[in-house]
Amino acid sequence: MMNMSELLLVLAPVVLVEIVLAVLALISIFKTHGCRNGNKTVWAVIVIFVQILGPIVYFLFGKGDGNQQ
Amino acid sequence: MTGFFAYLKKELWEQLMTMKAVIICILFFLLGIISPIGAKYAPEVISRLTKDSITIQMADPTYLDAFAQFFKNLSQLGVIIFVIVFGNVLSQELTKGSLIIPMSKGLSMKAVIHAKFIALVFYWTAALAVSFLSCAIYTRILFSEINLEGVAILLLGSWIFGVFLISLIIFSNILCRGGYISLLLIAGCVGVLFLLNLLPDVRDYLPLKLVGVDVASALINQDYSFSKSGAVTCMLIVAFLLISHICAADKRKFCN
Repeated sequence: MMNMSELLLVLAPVVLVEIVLAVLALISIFKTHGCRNGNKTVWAVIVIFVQILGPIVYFLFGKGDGNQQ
Repeated sequence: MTGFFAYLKKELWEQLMTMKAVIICILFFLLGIISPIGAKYAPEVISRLTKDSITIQMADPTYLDAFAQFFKNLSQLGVIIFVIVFGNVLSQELTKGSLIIPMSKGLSMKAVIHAKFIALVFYWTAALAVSFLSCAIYTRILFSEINLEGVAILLLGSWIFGVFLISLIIFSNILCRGGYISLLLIAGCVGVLFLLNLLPDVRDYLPLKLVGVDVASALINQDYSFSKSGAVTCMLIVAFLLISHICAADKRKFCN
């Protein structure tokens, strides 16, 4: 059985990575002019609600060409 | 040569700014921590899933299981992630036409190929380092006991296999214009390697030998050697880069 410290050890890096990725992706969504394969709202929802994979999929397939607002 | 260094700098910076390098490092970090966690808790999870009437006897996991899981994940999931993220690194630029301006100012296609290759090798090395360090730290924490003797040679095998795939990415990107077609070509080449792997006579010479080793037994017996497959893989890397150079001579017309 996992105790509390082991659980924290397992979950802490995953949660940290998830939060950092989501924040970076949201900043990118609202700063860039437009997104590929969908609009900003759809990508923001995906980034917020799909854990870890959402921001990664956004950076690979949704991030615009870098025209910042 | 100045053009090469300038393009290499641009390439390294671009992968960082498009977040591809960060994503690769994060995914490889997760890959690294998943292996010891999986090795440690998989027996417990399996024993909880089975009914009371069925008893499954499982040996207590050790750090060897964590490393076995790590190298298995690295050679399968890690390589697939790397190819998906960086699979169209050159064909994207060729189709978008973003190479036209630097090439009209005297940058050679050879310099572009070298710069892309070295940038990808740099990020593959960084990803491998991040992944292994996270795996080693978590293994140390979860298993208390860890012996790194013999791990370096296994890591070197994985690294050479990754470099081989990078040369394959460059070769397929030069050969095919579309991003997805080049990914299919890479998958086709790896498929051919798997088919050749069925032949016992050539198995020892294939790049797959570098990552298809029984990690636990290799670490215990310290008898792992990949001189034949390593030499063949290095020759294949050079061959793919040379063919890319030859094809790139025609590609210049395509870029202009």
